[in-house]
Amino acid sequence: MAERVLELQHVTMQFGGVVAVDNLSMHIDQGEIVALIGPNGAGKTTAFNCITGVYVPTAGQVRYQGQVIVSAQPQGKMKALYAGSYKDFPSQRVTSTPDAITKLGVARTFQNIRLFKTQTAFENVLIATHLHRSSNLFTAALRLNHREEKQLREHALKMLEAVGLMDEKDELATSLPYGKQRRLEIARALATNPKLLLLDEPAAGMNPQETDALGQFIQEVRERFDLTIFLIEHHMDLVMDISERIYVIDFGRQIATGLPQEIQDNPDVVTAYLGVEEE
Amino acid sequence: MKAFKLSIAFLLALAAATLLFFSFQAKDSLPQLLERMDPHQAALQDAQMQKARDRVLDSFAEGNRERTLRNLDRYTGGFSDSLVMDSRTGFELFFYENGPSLSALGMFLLVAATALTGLVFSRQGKWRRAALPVVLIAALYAGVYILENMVGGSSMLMTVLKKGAIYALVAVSMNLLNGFTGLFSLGQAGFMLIGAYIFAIFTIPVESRPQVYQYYAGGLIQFEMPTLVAMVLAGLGAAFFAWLIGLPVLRLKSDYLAIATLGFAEIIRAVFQYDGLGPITNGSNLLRRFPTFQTALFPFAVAGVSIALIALLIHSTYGRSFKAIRDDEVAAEAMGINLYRHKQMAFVISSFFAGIGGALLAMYQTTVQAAAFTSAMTYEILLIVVIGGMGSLSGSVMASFLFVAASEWWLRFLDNETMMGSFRVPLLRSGFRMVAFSVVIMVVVLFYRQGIMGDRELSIARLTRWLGRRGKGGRDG
Amino acid sequence: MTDFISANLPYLLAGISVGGQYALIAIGYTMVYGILRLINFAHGDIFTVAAYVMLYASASLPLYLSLPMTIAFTVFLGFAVERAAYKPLRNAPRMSIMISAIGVSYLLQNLMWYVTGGLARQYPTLPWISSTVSIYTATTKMVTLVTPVLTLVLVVALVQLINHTKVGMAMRAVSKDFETSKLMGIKINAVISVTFIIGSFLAAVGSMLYFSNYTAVTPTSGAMPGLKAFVAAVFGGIGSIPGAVIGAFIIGIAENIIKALGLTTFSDAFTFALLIIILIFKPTGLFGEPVHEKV
Repeated sequence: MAERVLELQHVTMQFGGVVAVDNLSMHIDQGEIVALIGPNGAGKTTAFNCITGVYVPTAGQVRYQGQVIVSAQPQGKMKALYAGSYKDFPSQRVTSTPDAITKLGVARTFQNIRLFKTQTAFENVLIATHLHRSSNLFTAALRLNHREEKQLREHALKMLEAVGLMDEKDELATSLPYGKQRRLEIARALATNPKLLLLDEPAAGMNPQETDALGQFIQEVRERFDLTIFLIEHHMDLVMDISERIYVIDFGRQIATGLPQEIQDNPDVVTAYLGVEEE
Repeated sequence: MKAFKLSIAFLLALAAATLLFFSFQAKDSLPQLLERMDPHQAALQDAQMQKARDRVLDSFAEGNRERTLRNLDRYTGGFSDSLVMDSRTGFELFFYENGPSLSALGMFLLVAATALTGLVFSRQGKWRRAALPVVLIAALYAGVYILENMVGGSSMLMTVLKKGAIYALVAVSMNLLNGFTGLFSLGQAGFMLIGAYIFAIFTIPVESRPQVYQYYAGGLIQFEMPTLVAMVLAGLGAAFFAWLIGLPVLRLKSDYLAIATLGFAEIIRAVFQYDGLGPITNGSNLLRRFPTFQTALFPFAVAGVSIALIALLIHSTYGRSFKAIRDDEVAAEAMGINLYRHKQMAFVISSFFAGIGGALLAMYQTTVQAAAFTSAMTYEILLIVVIGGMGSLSGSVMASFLFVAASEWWLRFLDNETMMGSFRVPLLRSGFRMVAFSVVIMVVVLFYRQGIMGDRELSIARLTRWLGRRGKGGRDG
Repeated sequence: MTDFISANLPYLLAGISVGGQYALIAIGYTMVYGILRLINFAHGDIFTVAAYVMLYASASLPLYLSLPMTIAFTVFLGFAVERAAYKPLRNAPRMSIMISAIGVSYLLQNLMWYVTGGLARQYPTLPWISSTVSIYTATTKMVTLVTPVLTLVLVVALVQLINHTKVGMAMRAVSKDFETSKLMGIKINAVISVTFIIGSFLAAVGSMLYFSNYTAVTPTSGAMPGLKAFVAAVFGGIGSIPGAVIGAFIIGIAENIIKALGLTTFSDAFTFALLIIILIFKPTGLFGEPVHEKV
């Protein structure tokens, strides 16, 4: 059996009265491309945020390569609400900050592109290489880390080259066209040397040709960097094209899972996307 | 060709060194010179001559150069018959009389030598980029030195330059935090206060302590430290307090930092004036008699080195992380940047240099009193940063000199009631300068949010491009 | 027991009174922060300006004119500052607006210094509220008793306004979600102006009460109460009006207990120590709600 890279167990995220993610359990194995789909507002990005430490879920557990990175029991008001549901769960609370999770090898992109807006494309990627630095404040400020700095710069250039943005490397990140900004976000994520890459709607705002190219690109990147990829996407062509397995959620709840073919034929999924026809 | 240039540079440097050496040596040797000019002690027999000579020596001891020169002239002129003037004495007297201009010439030659060397090496790859700035900085320092000797250390121009250099350091340190890391801190005056006090407390000479701490039996601390050691300690003290505040506050939303640091600055001001701490801080009395600087080169050197260190840091991998946090905290964290650790780092470093700035300010003012480090001081520094451009070090430096010159010098007239003939110019009276000033600042804040430089830096390439465009524009027009 | 009470009653009374005065300032901070996420650094100076206006107006006008005039001027100033210095920066980074607030504070302080010459002035004696009364064993000014009552009346009225009127509803909506409220057709600028007007009105009332007690007015005498009121707002949970009021009373009383213990120098320091403590243990304050940033 392939190594399990990511595993979610009964993850629930409730904001006030809204349950954004409801008892979600899933897993991703080494080398897979897995997609998470669902209508707008289904809680996909919230699920990403629970995995990457931006939110601490109300309850549930996230494991990365077998290690528990997040584990929570309902607290405060939520305790009464979820009475009984999580009683078999380990009571120890584990939380990780996003940077700690990135250090473990989980990198992500953002749905609403979050590049460093005053920096050039190259600098954006260079910032992300800092995880590989060993220099301290003094050696860095006094330029005693010359060799390391050179390596970081070369690494950043390699990432830019991998996403095909060498020509734009000195342009301001936010001045790039939309599709290239998305690629730059991927280059930036890759620069942290991840094992698991989370892509939040990488094809949003792209035309069909660009989307096609992106699909190929994602597969190339997986081969080249030996990655496992987990993506949220609305472009069904892309999802059906590249993903090996699919999870579908609606109103935070998992409504289907399986191979692309199975999902396409699943009546629940069709209902979720198109609504029920009224008689 | 290269060898030729280098040997010329060497000769220039040699001449410079000679000039500097002799003028510096002659500076203190006047009593011995007088001794040598009068080998038979004629002065002792002639009461009038003795009096004239005493006058020279008195004014020399006072350190009043102008009066010394005048008295010396009278002495050598009036009693030339009794005085022996051999060539060596004449030579040294010449150097004493013309010391400032000769040493200025020496500095100039030194810059020329450096420039020439820089030019030679600038052809050789690696040095190319470093050479020109180095030469310019050397020229700047030489310029300050020459100016100081020409216009005198206590002139308004030198006052502005000294205070401007100190404010430049403090503004740059604040910019590191507010402009480069995106943290809104308002504790600058508090950290400067800590720096100023630590510096003063540890450098007041032991023999002066009974007078300074007259209400506290000479104070608790009975030792003194070298100036530079105390200065580093001043920075470390400020940094330590910053670290303490940062522990809880930097884990939270950045708004809380503003209010916590502002509050801290207010508390620290009260605590340092607290009577119970009198044996250390002298309560609400002045601290004085600690070492001060004699030449503007000192604040320029300290501020220059500090600003250079900050600039190096900002362009290093750590500085990149700071800027990432400023641009987008969420994305920065997703790139593995530990927000708390980097914010704490920026905060501590910024406060370290604010502490050093405080020590410099103490030296500049020659006295220290906690009551002077008000939040208005922080506001002024923040507004300097805004005028210069958030995220531009060179902008902060320029704005500091501009601000100090305007407030201490150019706009002074606004505070004086002025009559034009029999017409009394309206509005002009004490306090109007600051009002006019705040209005200008509001205009900058509201309509020129980029300030002078935005987030760009002054560079030679940019300067030449700008001048070029100017020149072309002029021809076209 | 009686000794203990008679020794400490004056401090308790002073604490309740100054707490009420802080509360009136704190509401201005907390409402503005709730809506604009702006620490209005100029609020403490508006409070001081109110004192000067009262001082100058009452020198030549009878009380029934000078009092409404002071309130009207302060309200206008609060409104004008928002329009001139904050509104143009609505779409600028948040730090720019805070810097603008600092600029306004600096301008007001310098202006007051220029007009008054920087010397401490004596606040006028207001009839009735400045008169002395004795309660049990303590002798105090009437204002000490009036403040908490007046504060509570004003706060109740304000809460009614916010919960039961259309403009109050708009204010709640804007503080929940600025962008969405804009899309829903709420006149954002009007709501913000109302917020500043209410804040300045309460600051003017607070100023009259505060300076009837501490009668020396200098251009910077509003800075410290202003800061403390902000701490009170944070303590109670920024954005929450009842929170700000309760926080202000706690700070006012605690500060006077410390004075009773003979540690007057540290009464200011204590306020900020309290701020740090609350930030460590409950960063959202007593009544604040956790905020989730949208990613």
